[in-house]
Amino acid sequence: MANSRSKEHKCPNCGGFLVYIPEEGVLKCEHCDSKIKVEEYANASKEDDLYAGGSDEAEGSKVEGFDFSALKDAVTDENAENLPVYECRSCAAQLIAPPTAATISCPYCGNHIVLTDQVSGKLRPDGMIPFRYSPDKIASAVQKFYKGKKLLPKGFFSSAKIGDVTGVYLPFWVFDGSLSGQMTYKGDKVSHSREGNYDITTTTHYMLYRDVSGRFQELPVDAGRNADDALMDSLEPFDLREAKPFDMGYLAGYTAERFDEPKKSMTQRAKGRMRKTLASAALKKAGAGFTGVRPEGGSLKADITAKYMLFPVYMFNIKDGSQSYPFAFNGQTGKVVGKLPIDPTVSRNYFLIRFGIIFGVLFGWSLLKYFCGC
Amino acid sequence: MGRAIKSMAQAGLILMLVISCVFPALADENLSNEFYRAVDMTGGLSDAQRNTLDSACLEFAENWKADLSLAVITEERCNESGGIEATAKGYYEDCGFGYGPDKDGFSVIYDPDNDKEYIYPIGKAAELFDEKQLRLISRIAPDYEEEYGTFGPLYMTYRLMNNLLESQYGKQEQQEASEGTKDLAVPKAPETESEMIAKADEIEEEQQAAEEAKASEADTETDTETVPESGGAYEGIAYGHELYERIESCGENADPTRGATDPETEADETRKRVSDYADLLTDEEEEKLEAKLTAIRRECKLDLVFVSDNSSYGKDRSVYAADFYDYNGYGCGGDFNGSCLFICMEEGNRGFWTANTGSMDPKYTQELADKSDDVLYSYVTQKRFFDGVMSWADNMRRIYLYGHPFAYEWLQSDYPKDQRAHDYLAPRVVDDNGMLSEETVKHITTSMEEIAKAYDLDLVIHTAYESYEVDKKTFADRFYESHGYGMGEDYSGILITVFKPYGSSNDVVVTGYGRGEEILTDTAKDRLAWRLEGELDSDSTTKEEAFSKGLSWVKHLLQTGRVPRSGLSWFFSTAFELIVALIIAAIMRSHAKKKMDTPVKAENAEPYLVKGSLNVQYVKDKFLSTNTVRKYNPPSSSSSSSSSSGRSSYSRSYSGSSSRSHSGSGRSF
Repeated sequence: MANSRSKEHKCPNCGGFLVYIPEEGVLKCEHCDSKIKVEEYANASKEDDLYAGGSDEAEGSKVEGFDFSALKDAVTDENAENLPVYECRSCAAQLIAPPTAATISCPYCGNHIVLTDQVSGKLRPDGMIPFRYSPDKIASAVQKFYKGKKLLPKGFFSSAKIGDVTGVYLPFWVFDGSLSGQMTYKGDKVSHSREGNYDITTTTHYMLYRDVSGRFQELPVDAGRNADDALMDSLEPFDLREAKPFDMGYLAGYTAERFDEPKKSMTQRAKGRMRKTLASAALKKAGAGFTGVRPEGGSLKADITAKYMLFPVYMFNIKDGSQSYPFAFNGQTGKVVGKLPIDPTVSRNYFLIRFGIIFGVLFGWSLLKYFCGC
Repeated sequence: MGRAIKSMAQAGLILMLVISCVFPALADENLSNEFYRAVDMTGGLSDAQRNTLDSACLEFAENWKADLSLAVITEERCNESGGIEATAKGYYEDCGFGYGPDKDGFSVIYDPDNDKEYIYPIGKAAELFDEKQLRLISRIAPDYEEEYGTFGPLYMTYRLMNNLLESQYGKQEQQEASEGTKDLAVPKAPETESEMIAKADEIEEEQQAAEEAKASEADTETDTETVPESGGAYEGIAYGHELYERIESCGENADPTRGATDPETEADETRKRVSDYADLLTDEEEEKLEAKLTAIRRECKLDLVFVSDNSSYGKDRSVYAADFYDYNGYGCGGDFNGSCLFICMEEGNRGFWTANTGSMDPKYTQELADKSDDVLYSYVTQKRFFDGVMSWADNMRRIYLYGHPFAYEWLQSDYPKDQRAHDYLAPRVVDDNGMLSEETVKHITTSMEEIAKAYDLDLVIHTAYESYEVDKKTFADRFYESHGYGMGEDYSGILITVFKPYGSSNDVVVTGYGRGEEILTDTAKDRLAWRLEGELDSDSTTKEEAFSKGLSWVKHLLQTGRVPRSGLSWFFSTAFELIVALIIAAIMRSHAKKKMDTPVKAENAEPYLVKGSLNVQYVKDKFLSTNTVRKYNPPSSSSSSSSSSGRSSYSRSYSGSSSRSHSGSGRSF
């Protein structure tokens, strides 16, 4: 059964499709080229009451204390029978969206549809960072990224092609809070003395107990299962000073996803990163006056809150023959990350050539010195 | 000039004698009472003996109207002051001795070194005895030295003179001179001249018999090369050989100086100079050391003695060394010239001491002691005792001969440039280290002359033990400049100096002069030195072969401007270059891989830690355990270092249990 849990961005002038233009920060009609600010369009949409699950429902959606219990079914249920059915308002087609998708494109008319039930109520993000870069910047960024990559397969520059680029708002949880507790370290004190012809080294071992606390701010943790954690982590940092309140207008023309990572794994990941950082940062202070200080254990209690945010990322593949390499482009900072191939032959030759040159220079210098009598 | 010095020495000795005589006994108006009439410059008289003799002299003067002064002084000291007679009369006059206005009396000098006595009559005293009588007295009196010490001859002189006068002029009413000697053992003198003559004959017979016996014993030693067992003058030898057994049986009471040879006994040439009771040396090392000490003793009359022991028997190390030397029959000449090195291995009292006697005594200044002890210290702290004692012997020899432990005369200062001259006849191979045979020297010299002639450049090889506190380059320069080496106006030449301290490897220094300096680059010097060191240290190469190779490299240098590198050198340098290239290439590839920017999962949150929010509070530190590591690390040694080991304890003048004077120095280790 179709419902009204979707929103389409149509031009108020001609009814054409609107698309968000990152460089200008406006919605642009693909048909009549008229432009409208995201905020203005949202107000107009309210008056028209074009979509269900409006702003009232979005209020109070801030997630505190990781209370995901109410979202469990929606997150994990992939049974097609239970998946919601959306109706394209443009062509009235009945569409089924993946459980984590927040936007879809109508395969019949190309209409961009925002699945409002995935971004409203308790699923409404606390904020988002809009795209600053349009997809046409990707090619030059990737070319720049290639520079200095000496171990790429021969001809990779010329033959490699950038595949389909998808601009997507990816779900992140951004953690604030503090860790505190008692840490234990093992530390040594070493003293040296001399008795007759003997050097005496005395090492005294101690267990150090220290109360440790520290505060973390805006630690992002990738909340989507689909995205590779290493790829997402490498995209950091995102500048949260540019974050905006969530507005569906920014989603126009882009794909969006909602979080589906289980609560436990996300909190563990955030806490793990915080704990490791705190233990390491506290090591120097805790071990003042000791040598060879190393963490031994302890317990740190976390007091943290999280915000649900959408971050702008372009996902694409670089294809070289039959091989495809996943890449990501930070839609806010322009940073490119991806796993480039290392050609073993190129790598070996790279090593051998340099080895040969260096050895040749050294040996030649020796010979020259010898024959010069130096 | 010499006369003036002699006069000054005489005045000095007399002054010393005068000072020794202060505080006299009673006398009448015809006698001066300012000074003692009996004095012993060797310190052999006790106070009681001196007072007894002084009283006897005064009574003699009272009875016979002729003064009597008795002095013990060695002939050597007298000779330094112008002779025995001059000393005797000068001393007599300066002390104001003499009876009446003409200062009549007798000045008697007894020389304990030669066991001889001299009696000089002054003024009218010559009328009391004829020369024959005086000779008779001086013939008999010394015979009492063995039993009564220096007191014996002096007292006997007084008694014999008194008895002769009494037999001639009748017994005088006098207070018995021996009253003051009731507690002293005094010799009984012959009463009449005939008894005296009989006694003199008896003495002569005994001396002849003793000389014959000694000659017989000497023959026996020569034939069998055995050491007499015990008794008489050889008691100390037997004692030395049996000391170890004594230590075993007597423990701490086995004092090596107790009961040994009388310190006044003539030095014994047959005595072993190495007594290694602490067993620091092997038998072979002892033999080598003994040979070296013997060679030094014969060369410069300096008796060097080495003793090691596991205890100093409660004595200070300085006293042990002095006593061991004094009581075991050591020393060259009348002044027992020599030095004794004692290494004490007693737990908590480890150290060494050098005690010097005789002519060596004043030469051993604190500065020289420090230098010599520095070297010895560096060896003994590494437990290289043999090397240390060998080096010590060399140093003592040089101190004695040259006044410096590390001396060659030419080494002491830069050679004056205006006095520099060519000496084409000077040997071009100087083997001070003794590492080359005569034949080798001859062969090397021939090769060197050929090269020198062909390239008009002097070649010199010098071997030495060490550089004696100056840096090796300076050592080489001073040697070259002071020996007239070099060709042409700029004294062109190349000097190869080989240093080889005892027990160490060869250290070669190559220096160039004039045109030789231009030819020898730093690399050429280093390579030539390095290759030659390798050849000299090699067991498979003789010294001649090593130097021949060295000269062939010098020739190659003169022909091509470079010293050939060894195959091993090429191998190592190439291997080194390969390794360096390998490491750098690996680092470059690793860097290139890193630049591929492979995404990595973030493990920490460092950029998100709020600045200043980190807070670490001390709770407690709990002690767990302690472990201690002891690593043996003896002080590094350097034969040319003078200050690394600090300064020695030094005594300018001290004596052990005997009356001999010593200087000495030592250190704990």
